[in-house]
Amino acid sequence: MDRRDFIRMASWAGLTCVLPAAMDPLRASAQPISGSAYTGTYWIFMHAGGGWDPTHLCDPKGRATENENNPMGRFLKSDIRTAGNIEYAPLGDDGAALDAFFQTHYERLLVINGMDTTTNGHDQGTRGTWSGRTAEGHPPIGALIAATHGPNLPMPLIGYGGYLDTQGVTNAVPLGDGGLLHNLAHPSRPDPTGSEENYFGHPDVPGIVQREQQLRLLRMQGKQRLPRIWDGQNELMLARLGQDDLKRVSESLPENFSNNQLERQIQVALAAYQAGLSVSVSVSRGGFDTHGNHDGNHLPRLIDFVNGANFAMQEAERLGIADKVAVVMGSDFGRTPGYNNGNGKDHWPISSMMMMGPGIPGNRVIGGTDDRHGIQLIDPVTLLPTGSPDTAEGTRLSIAHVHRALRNLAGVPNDFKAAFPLAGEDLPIFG
Amino acid sequence: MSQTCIHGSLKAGLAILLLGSVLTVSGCKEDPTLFGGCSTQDINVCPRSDGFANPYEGQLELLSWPETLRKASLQLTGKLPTESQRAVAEVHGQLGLEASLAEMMRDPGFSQRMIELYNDHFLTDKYLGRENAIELLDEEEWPNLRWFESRFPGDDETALMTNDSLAREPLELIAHVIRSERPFTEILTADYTMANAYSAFSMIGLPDIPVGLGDNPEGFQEIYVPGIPHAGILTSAMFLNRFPTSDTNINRHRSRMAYYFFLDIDINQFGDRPVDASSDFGENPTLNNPDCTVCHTTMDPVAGLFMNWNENGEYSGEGEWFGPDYILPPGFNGEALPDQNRRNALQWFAQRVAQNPRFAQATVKTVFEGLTGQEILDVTIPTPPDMGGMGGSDGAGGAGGDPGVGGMGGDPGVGGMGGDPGVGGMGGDPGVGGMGGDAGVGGMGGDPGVGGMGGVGGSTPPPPPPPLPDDEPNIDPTVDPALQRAYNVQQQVLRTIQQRFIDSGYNFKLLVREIVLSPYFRAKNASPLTSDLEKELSTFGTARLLTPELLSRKIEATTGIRWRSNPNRSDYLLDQYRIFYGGIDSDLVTQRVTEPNGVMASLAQRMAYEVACSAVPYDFSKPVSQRFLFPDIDQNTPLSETSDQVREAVRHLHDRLLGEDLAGGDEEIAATMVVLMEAYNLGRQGLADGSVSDQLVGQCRLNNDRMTGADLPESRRINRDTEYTIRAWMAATSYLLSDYRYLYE
Repeated sequence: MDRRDFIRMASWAGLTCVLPAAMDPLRASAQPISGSAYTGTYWIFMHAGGGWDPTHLCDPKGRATENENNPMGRFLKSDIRTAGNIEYAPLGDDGAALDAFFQTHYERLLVINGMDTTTNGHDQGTRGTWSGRTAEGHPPIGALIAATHGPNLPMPLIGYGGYLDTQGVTNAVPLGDGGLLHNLAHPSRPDPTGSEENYFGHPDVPGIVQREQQLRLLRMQGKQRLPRIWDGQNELMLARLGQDDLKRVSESLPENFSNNQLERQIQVALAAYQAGLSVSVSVSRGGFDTHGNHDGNHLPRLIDFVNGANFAMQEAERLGIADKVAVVMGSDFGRTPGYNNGNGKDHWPISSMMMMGPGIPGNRVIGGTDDRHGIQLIDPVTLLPTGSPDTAEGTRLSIAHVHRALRNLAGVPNDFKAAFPLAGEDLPIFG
Repeated sequence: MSQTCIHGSLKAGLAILLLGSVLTVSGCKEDPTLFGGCSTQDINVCPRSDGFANPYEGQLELLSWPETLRKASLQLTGKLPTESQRAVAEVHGQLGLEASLAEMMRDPGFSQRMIELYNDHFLTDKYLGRENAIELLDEEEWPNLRWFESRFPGDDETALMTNDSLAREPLELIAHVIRSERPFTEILTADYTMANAYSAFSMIGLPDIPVGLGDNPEGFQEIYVPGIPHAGILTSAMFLNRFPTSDTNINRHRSRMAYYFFLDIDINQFGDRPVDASSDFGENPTLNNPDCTVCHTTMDPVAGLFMNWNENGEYSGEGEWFGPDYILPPGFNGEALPDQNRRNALQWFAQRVAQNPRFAQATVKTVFEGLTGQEILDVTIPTPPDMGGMGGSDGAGGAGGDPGVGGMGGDPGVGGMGGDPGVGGMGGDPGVGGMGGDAGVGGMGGDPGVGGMGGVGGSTPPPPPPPLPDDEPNIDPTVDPALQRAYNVQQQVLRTIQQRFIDSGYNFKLLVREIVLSPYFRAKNASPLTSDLEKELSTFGTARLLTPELLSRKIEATTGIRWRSNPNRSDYLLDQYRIFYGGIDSDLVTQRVTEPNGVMASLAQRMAYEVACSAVPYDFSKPVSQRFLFPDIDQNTPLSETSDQVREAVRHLHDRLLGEDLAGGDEEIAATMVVLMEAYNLGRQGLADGSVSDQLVGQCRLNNDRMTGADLPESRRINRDTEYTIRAWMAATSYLLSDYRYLYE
């Protein structure tokens, strides 16, 4: 069975669509096949767009002395900070800019260093980091998890950025990042957060309009035989089924939104999760492709990015769902050892990922790199570095390994695994 | 390029006096254009198309000519067809449609639509607003950049106008070439750029000229910036900033995008070779490592052609580039850049792209996908360049390199050229050694000790870059045969369009016309299909969710109002709801969402309610002759299921909003009557028992003109709905405004 057949089969099984049979014209109302609220792990995928520099984050290198030629970074090795078993770079004026994140969360945090993305291309790297394969054709892990656990939810994957080519397994919903959602949650009300009065002055009139809309769409579908048009009509029908659920998101939205866009997006996503309507969200921050003035441009973004993850966990804590939230951070690839003539850093295929959440063992670093951020093989059992590929035995830690583990952890079914196969073998990344 | 006179915005006396010496302007003596005299009033002078046969006659149902006309008009201009266009399409069929299209393509809305279509690719609208474009440019290079600060201190509007005019430079060039029916290749070969009075001052510096002397200072025209070898979009500062370079990227990104946009070649598809960080990349891997050269061999020579343009998009004119021991020499498609063209390398490149059939192929693809909203089916195997031109066949790479640069053998797995393992190229002396491919591994077979590096100073010219990939790539044999047939049929139509486009001298309007006439734009339905035929017809039928821009224009065209909070604000779909509805901001969000989701469905629903709330009272308030929605019924006409007048009014709504010409007894008329009458009966019941107010909600009340904001006379004001007729019509109207046929085209 090829992927096309699989997707077709999956859709007929109700993974992404509702059949006309699910509509009951006699009752004159559209019913989703399954509308149960999702209460499992909420997955937040954070993409640092452009290729981040792990040597200034969770795989810190720095320089031995002030006078070192061609240093990996401009901080001293002796200033590298630690939180439990995890080392991190001393960023910011006082070297403590990453403390809030690492010191607070190290017990839950898994750091994967020395991960080989095998590419220097942005598109390939972004695809690889989030799908496990640099070539086109695989959906992001967030989409697979969303399709697994929330096939009939209205916004299983909220897509604010990053790699969102879902390959049809689910839709990535751009949910907006503020109070306008209230307007959409109550489309028939002029004042969605105030009076319940609608545009028609009668509470039942919008229901008549919506009922007849869906019935007309069914009639049109019944007469349509070109698959492209039929599919388009089906998309609209499915999309409409999710309308009422927005009210639940609206009710869960905070009264005050953050001034930071990434943080607002996380607030909306967590509200969608609280409403039981979403399984995952993909957010992204750009500007990491610093071929020039690396320290000046890249490091402040790294700090903001990591603070975004910190905010996500704080918000989850405030909402009482911290034990349900998983955060996964990654980027296109890493950056070259040392600085170029423009004080920038170019593309480098070795990268890191950081993650925490249910089922992810914390206070742990797996994989590693040498002093120049060169790859090291790992012991396939302990996952500790064994040395350079030239001299040591072991396994090369790949993005496919990480994604195999993520898929297993998130319960992605074998059907999806077979439809979107990954190279390599399973490693005990999550124990 | 004619320099005989100045026309347009700056023709006022003083402007001519001052600008004449520096503005290179043409267009006064327009040659007659292909579509210039063609109109619905005189269809006999219209150029005729051979049209397209229905490839599945009897099975594939196409839109009628009037239906095609409506769809094209909304798509191309954002307006409904005129009465005369409708009439001529009814009577003369395809010929009438062709005449109507010629008229439409003279509409300013058409230019706007084409700008929008190309911005989806170039994304230069990122620089609209604030001083986003101005800040890209260096005042040392552009000393009059901020001319407005001295002339109009504190005038934010002039500053913004200047910024946006600079930002629109590349897209206005496209609009200009289309409008004037010049060969579309001129978007690359133009030896001028586009500016209006605002941006011309910034670009060519005439700070003493006050703005506003011309009769249309906002109108764009051709200008020549002294000292700049313009090559259309390729040398546009906005384009070059949007696709930037760096010290280490050295124009490769620009090269890749030039191939992608103008030659329909995605270099990234050439190879998906993993980069092995632990392996020895060797010296200069983009030159020597087959994992890298599979793409860089094509990419790097064109990167060199951008040599004169720095990261800010400024021209240096130095004609300097790295030596061949660092990066492949500049060139394109089997041809090395001659030394005498080093300072105008992009003009040299533009001429060659323009002559290549792939330019037409790329343009057809861009416009086809832009107008239909559907991707062209691709079931082929990506074809990297034939690296035979680089030497190195059968491991004899670079044998002729004396004393210049030897050749590079290709990787047989990709390039189809086999080198015996380890034989490698016999490098020139002292040329770059050839890299013979190892058939099994694709590694570097060349012996660097033999090949060596160098050859810079040799008298033999460096090897030219490889020719472009085959125009007719191989179909992937594993693809379903029905899809292979679908591909072949589609390619046949596209190749026909491409040839007609070329034969017309690259007339863009002809290209648009042919796409509209094609069965891919017109497919509507089919007879019952077998599953095989269903796959084969899977490329037919546009089911395109309208973009926020298209929907916004359609709302105004069909209802007569714009969806916005008041006349001083932007349309919702172009502002606060743009991203919600799947639009782009050309910056952080650059990919449109083409499938609706719950949020977008809710947004469409809110649009339908709010537009109906705004448009229905407004329409009823107008004189009958000016009404869009209710020309044959009054707001006080009692509603009844048996009323022919009411049924006729519903029929008109279907026609106006959805383009459906239905009989009075059609089931869809009956369904809309259900909405109307159920709402009416419920509302009247509520009025009777006091649960429903006879006042319209505030947002629907009409006291000011919806379009201008002007106070309306008492006779046109509507605040009450004592019989619940207005709100019943609002229900029926919103039902149709949120329909599939309204939201999709």
